[in-house]
This record gives sequence, C-alpha cells and structure tokens, in this order.
Amino acid sequence: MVSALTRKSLKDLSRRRARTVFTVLTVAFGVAGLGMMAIEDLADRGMADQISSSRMYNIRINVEDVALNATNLRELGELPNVKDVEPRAIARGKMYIGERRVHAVIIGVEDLADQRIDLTERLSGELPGPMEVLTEEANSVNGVYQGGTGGTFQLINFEGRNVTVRISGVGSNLVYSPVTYEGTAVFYADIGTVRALTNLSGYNSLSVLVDDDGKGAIDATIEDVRDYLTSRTTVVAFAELPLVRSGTDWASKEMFTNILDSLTILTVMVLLASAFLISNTMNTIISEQRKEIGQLKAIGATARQVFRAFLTTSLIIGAVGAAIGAAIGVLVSFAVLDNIGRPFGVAFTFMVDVPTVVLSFAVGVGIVVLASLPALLRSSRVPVREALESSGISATYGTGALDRMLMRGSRLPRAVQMGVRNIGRKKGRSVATLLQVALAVGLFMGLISMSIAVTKATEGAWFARNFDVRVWGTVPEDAFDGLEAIDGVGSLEPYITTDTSMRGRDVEIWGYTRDSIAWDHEATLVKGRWFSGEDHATNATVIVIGKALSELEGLGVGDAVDVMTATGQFTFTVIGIQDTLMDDGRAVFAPYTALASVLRDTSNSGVLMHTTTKDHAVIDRVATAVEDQLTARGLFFGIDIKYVEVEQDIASNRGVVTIFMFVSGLIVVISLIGLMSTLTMNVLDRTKEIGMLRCIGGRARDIRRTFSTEALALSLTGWVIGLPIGAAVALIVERSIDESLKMEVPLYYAWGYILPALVVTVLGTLLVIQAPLLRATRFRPGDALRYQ
Amino acid sequence: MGRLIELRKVDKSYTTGKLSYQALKQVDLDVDEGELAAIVGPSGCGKSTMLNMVTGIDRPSGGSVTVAGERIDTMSEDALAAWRGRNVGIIFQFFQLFPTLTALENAMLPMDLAKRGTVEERRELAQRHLSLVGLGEKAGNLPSELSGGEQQRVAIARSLANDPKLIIGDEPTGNLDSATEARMFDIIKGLSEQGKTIVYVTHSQKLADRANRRIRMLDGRIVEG
Repeated sequence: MVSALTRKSLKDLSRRRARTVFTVLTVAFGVAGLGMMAIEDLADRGMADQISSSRMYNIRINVEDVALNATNLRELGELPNVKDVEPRAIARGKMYIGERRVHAVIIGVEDLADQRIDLTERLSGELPGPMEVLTEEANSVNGVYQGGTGGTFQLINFEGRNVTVRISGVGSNLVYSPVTYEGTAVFYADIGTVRALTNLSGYNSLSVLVDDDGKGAIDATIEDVRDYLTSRTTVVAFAELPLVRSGTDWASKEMFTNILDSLTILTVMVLLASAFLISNTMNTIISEQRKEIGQLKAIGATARQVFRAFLTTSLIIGAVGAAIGAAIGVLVSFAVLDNIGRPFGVAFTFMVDVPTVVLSFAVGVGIVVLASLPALLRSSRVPVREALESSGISATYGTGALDRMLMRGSRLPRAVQMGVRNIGRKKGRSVATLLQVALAVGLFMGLISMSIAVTKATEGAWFARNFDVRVWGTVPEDAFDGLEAIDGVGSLEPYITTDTSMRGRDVEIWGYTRDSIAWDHEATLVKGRWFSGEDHATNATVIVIGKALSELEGLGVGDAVDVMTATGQFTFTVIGIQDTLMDDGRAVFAPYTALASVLRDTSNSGVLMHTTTKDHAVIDRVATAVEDQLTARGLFFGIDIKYVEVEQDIASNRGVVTIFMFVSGLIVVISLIGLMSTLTMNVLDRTKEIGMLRCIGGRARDIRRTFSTEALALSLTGWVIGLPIGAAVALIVERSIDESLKMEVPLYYAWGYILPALVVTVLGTLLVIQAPLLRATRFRPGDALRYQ
Repeated sequence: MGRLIELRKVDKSYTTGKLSYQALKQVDLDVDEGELAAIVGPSGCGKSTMLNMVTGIDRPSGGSVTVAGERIDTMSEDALAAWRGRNVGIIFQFFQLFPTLTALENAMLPMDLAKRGTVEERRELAQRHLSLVGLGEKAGNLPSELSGGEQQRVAIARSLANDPKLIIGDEPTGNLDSATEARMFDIIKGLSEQGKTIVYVTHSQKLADRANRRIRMLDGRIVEG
C-alpha cells in the first residue's frame, strides 16, 4: 500500500499528460547529448576488435622494388621480436572514371585466400582472378568510385596503355581504406595482376607483426629489418619513414581523436543547454503547483512531506526521461561514430558503452532533482494563505518598470497587447524561455560560424601555394624541357617531400628550390627569414616551420631540433615561422639541396608547375598534356590540380561541418522542445482565461494572436540576445579547435546567417506553437472554466 | 414582451473517467425579455449547468437551446463566441478579470473582440460603464490593485460592454461581503429596470427574494417556476 501523498505524486504525472510528456522529452534530449562522451571509448573498442581481427601491422616499410625469396622471408620472420612478415606489391597509378583520370592504388597480395597480416576482408563477390580486383567499400562511401561487382574500368599500365580490369567483388582493409578519404580509389588484387600492370618484379611494401610493440623494441626491430634488407637484398634505403603502430593505435586515430576532442566542447554545450532547459521546466511545473502545496499544508502536510511528494514526481520524471535519453544517446553516439568512421573506411558494428549509459542515467536523474530543488524548497516554504491565493500572476505584477513598459502600446490590437503583457506575468519563466531561445540562436550562430571558419581554414591552407599543377613522383630532369614547352605552362620547378618524425610527431618536410615561386613566403613569414642563397649553396639544414607547430613544440627562430628521416636523425635549425594553414599549420620547409643531401637522393619527388593563366580549362589542358608526356616516358606518377584539390579539401571537411550542424541541430531541437513545453504550460496556466475570453466573445483567432504574440516576442528577444552569444560561442569553439586539433582556424562570425537565424527562429516558434495553440483554441469554454 | 430564452427537453450529462453524471434532465425553460429571474437550489442540482446552456458555454447532450431567436446549441464554437460577445454579458462568482489588463481595458475587451465602433468610442463607453458601477476613478488600476467588490463591479461593467439583451450571473455576489453584495445587487436591479433580461444563480435566499421570478431546481430538473 502506498500513502495517499505518494499516490498523488504518481497521479500528478498522468493528470497533465502533455506537460509530463514534454518534461520527460526535455530531460531525454538533454541526457541524449551525454551519449557523445561514449564515442571515444566506443571507437577505441571497435577499432581494437577490428585491429585484432584484421591482424593490423606494427611496422610497415615501403621500399623500392625488391625481390624477396622464401629464404629472405623466412629469415626476416626469424629476426628478434618479429612475429610475422608479409610482403606486398602496391601499384599507384591512374584509372579512368568515364573520361576523367583518378588516382588509384592496387594492393597486390600473394594469396588473398591465405593472408597473414593486414587482412583484406571480402565483403561480397568472388576473390579476384587475373586482371580482376576487389573494390574497397570506402571507394563508394567517399564518392571516389561507385563501380560494383561485375563492372569494369580502364587502368593506365606502366607502358601508358589502357588495360581493362574487372571487379570481382567488394572488400575492405583497415590499413588502406583511409586512402579513399583523400580521393584515391583503392583496389585489392592478386600480386600477379599488380606485377602485370606495373614494372614491379618483386615487392615494394613489407608489413611486420611484432611480439613487443613498445617503442624501443619496435625501433630495434626496424633497425634489424633495415640491416637485413640493405645487407642481404638490393634495398639501399627505405623509400619512406617506416609506419609504426603500437598498442591500441590505429590508422587515422590521431585525426579521429582530435575530431572527438573538438566535440568535447560541443558536448558540454549540449549538456549546459539541457541542464538549463531541465531546470527551467522543473522550476515551472513546481511553481505552477503552489496552490496545491497550499492545500496540502492547509490539511496538515508538513514542508518535509510536501517536499517529498514533489521530489517523488521529479524523480519519476527524471528516471523516465533519463532512461529514454540514455537510449537515444546510445543511438546518437553510434550515429556520430559511424559518421566520423565511414569516410575513413571504418564500419563500426553497433556497440553500447555501459558506463556512459549508467553515467547518463545518473546525471539525468541528478540534474532533474538538482534543478527541482530550488523551486521545491521555495514552494514548500511558502505560507499557506499565499499559496492558496496563488492566481498565476505575480503579486507585484504591474508595479515594475518592465510591466509598465509592456503596458504601453495602446494602439495595438487588444489580443496583441495581452500577448505582450503576458510576458511580464511570470518573469522568471519568460526570462528563462528567452534565454533558452538566445542560447539556441547563439549556439546555432556560433557553430555555423565555426563551420564556415573550418572551410576558410581549408582555403587558408592553400592561399600561399602559387603552383597550378603538381606532379607526384620523380620526374627526370631531361623531361623538364618537354614539359615547359607545353602550351600554357609558365614555369616549372622540382620539389622534394619526405615524411619525418620531429619530437615524436609526424611531420612532412617540403624541400623547395632557391628561387621557388611555388610558395609566397613574403606573404606568410611572420618571424625570421626564408632560405638564402648561401643556405642552398651549403646544403644548410635549416627549416621554416608552421606557426601551429612552433606553438605546439615551443620552437622559435634559432632553435635546433632533431628530425628523424628515412636515412636517420639530423639536426635542423629553425630560421623562420610562417602562418599559413598548410598541413594544419604544421608545414615545414627546407632548402631543396639540404633535403636531397639528407635523403642521400638528389632525385625530386615531383614538379610544381605554373600556368600562364588561371583559366580552369587551360589548367586542365596542361595537366592532361603533362600526364600524356610523362606516361609516354613510362613514369609512374600522379597529378594534382590545385583548384580541384582546394574544392576537394573543402568537401572533405564536410564531416566536421556535418557534426557541427548535427550538434547545433540537436541544440535547436532541445530548445524548441523547451519552447513548446513553456508555451504549453502557459496555455495550461491560462486555461481559465481562455475560457473567459471565449465567454466574452473571443474567437479562435483572438486566442491564437494572444499566444503567438507572446511566443514571438519572447523568441525575437531571444534572437537578439543570441547574436552576441553566437560570437562568444564561435570564440570558445575556435579556441577549443586550436587546442585540440592544433589547427589554426580563423575567428569568423557568420554575419550572413543573422537573417536566416531570424527566419529559423520565427518559423521554429510558429511551428512549435501550433500544438499548444490547437489545444488552446479547442478548449470549450465550459471545460476551460472548470479546469483545475 | 417577446421570448428571449427557450430551452426544450435539455439533457446534459458529464462523463469523468468511469463515472457518468446527468446534470440536467429533460429541462424546459422559457424566459421573456426584461425578466429578472433567480435560479436557486442545493449544490449540484444543475443551476450553473443550466446557465452554461443558456450562454452556450456548454452544449446540451440532448434537446435544444434557443436564445434571442437563434439555436445556439448548433453553432460552431467560433460563431458561438462571437454571438455570446454581442448578446450576453456574464458575471462570474470569481470575477474572472484579465490580470494584465486595467479595469478600463477589461471593460473594453468585449467591444475590442467584437470590433465595435472606434477605439475611442469603446474607451468612452467603457469609462461610462465603470462610472455607472462607481469605479470611474479607478479605470487605470489593474485587478490586483482592486478589492473583491471593486473587481466584481468591473466584471459588471464588462458585462455591459456590447449592450447585451441578456445578462447572466453565476453567483455574482457569492464571493462578496453582505454590504458589498447589497450594493452589487442594487446595480443589477438597476440594469433590470433599464430593460435588460437578467438571470442569476444564487444560494442567498435574500437575493432570490429580490428577483421577479424564482426558478427552483432539484436533481437536474426545474421543480418550481
């Protein structure tokens, strides 16, 4: 048996179902936002499973074409700490999609039916036979290539001829799928197919699994493999710095984690918006029951009993809302995880992070109870007479400056006047409502601003790069004249690029020639100087570094820093700092000669070309002509067209922008639910007045006008207040992205979205007010007047 | 004198949860223009329900309600509201004033809703009605700044706004002290003498005795008058 007081607490929930539903929904959406906290753990767990099942490499070494026989492979496998070794032949080239040429990578595996490391999973179709491939699932996810099983495409082979390749099925590989994110199509084939397409006779990639994946052990293993390859095979040096993966690391984890870090601030914002909304709602529903509190006290209930009765109601609302919210949170977190993972070719299976679910539930209930406490304490202490006389209007209404101000405007239609004045009736509720709208507008404006800023950052990463066409892959010097003779080519210069490790951080160093016009260093240098003729002449190991890297590593002009390259460790001196956003503000430049000397290889990594005009058609023609010339020479290379790259980069930031949009959308939805809840409560509060208005001749349109005026006045004021909040949010998120992504994002305010925000605010308000308005206009006067 | 109110075989039942309650049972009632009629009877006998039938605040479950020649039980809710605003003035026990409007604005409101005359004309007329009930000086006060008696006088002034033929009072003095009650009734009586038809519910024998006609109800039926 439960006491009558407890039964009252329970029955209060069903008495005003609409209010209960809105409150529960408010709590649920608020708690759902907490689900985002689970994403990092879920990603780690999901990736750990996939890494384990795909036997992902610990060390991946790219070398020039090397013949490895069974003895070599056995001996490599017997090196200390080496658990297993598997070689691959990887072809990098171009394929045709219609008339367009697209970068393509084909991973050649010795035996796709018996892989030992970096397993490629066949998702559908058949294992590929000769001149057949599995297409990577992420090709279509990232819109790189949409062809499916049974289809064919043309690939340019090492002789420059078009070869038809058939797709036998769809596959996925954790290691290579992220490549599609950069616009390159990925395929898996038998090693024989790769050799037939290229002039490779052996292998050019070696994946190694180790027993001890500690940094020291891995470094030692790399040295052992290097020694073995250089002493026992034709390998002179590694082609690139070996890729290392230890423990729970996985490809793209850093970028993934950075994106999640930048989401932390958004999670906090969602939580704040929800807490505010929950507090507002609970405060409203408890304050609304002052009269009943008076009645309870009048018949002998103590303040403690009243407190307990209403606390029970709050607890039930909190528990139901938090449970629904935690469930939504599970779905939201997985949706966000999936959204972030898919461009990297990672397809997570559905997972639930139990600790986050439990925490979300506890926080949800806790927030509801905490948010209820002030109103509960206030209401349970209110004197009986005052509570009984509670009439839905503040006792001091009409005395304040605000009330008097709202009472002006006698020329307005009466229904509009009533709507405006109603704002002053429950000032706390009105203030909370307009702050809620302001917060939503602010977060919307802030996050939209950041979305635009991210796009601008992408553009900023390119603005100082003056070339129009870039060739990836060594171009022999005797090919330069032919390229320069192409109609539309202004000038040409070689460059070198190499992956290095600087203080444990992956950094790409770019070697530019002395008279490089590929880089507008005058416009970007903020400290120090650019390379001098003497630097070039003496192969000086000097570098100009990006501002973000300088701040990240505390490096200033004149500082020396050790850099691990493919050929060993070298000390470079910082001579300048530049502030473009290339490589997220971490780009490093060195003199061409110095980098060639360090790498013990004078051949270039490609050439940068300037066209005589910025006309896209001319640039396209130049790129095609360059491609034709180099292909005719049997070279393996890639070509980037700068204007296309910029557009692709902007498109590839859609993920971050989508998340910003998703979160701002969630906050707007939470706020709209709050607004709807408040308006519904206003209607319920004034049910008798609606009845009375009907009694003296008020029609549905008069009632609609009264409540619409109130809602629109509140939301428009909220919009005005929200605009500066938006600027503050943009600033906070910008700082957060700077901190978490170490990415220089310019501070930007979305002025162009002020009017759209107004339109969204007005339309959103008009939308959410429909349900309460319908309720209000459907009241029959008799029912309304009897309403308790 | 013409007939103003005509109720024929009116039934009204309410259903709350599992319970069904019949408030009016086959009620017939005729009220002529200019009558001052009091409805009396014990609590729960259907007095207020019958008033709600006359004003169209509630709809009958059966039967017909004709007021001033119009079948109001078949009107749409909006048409009924507009009709009520023009033809009926209602005075409630608990005043039911709009707390954000001043006394003058409350008294003007039915005219605003009916869009009667210009705003200035409405203001003048409302001011005149407030003066009639002795509140000309307090036209700018909010309801919270008025006593219970004063609020009820504003409610009376409001009921006169559109010069209705019919004024309905649901225990119009039930919430007032006896001195104020007497003053209020003097005003109501005065309106009756000016030709208004007035029907009111009361528990007060004294007030019932001052009516020209007494309608007694019991268990949802008219048993006298």
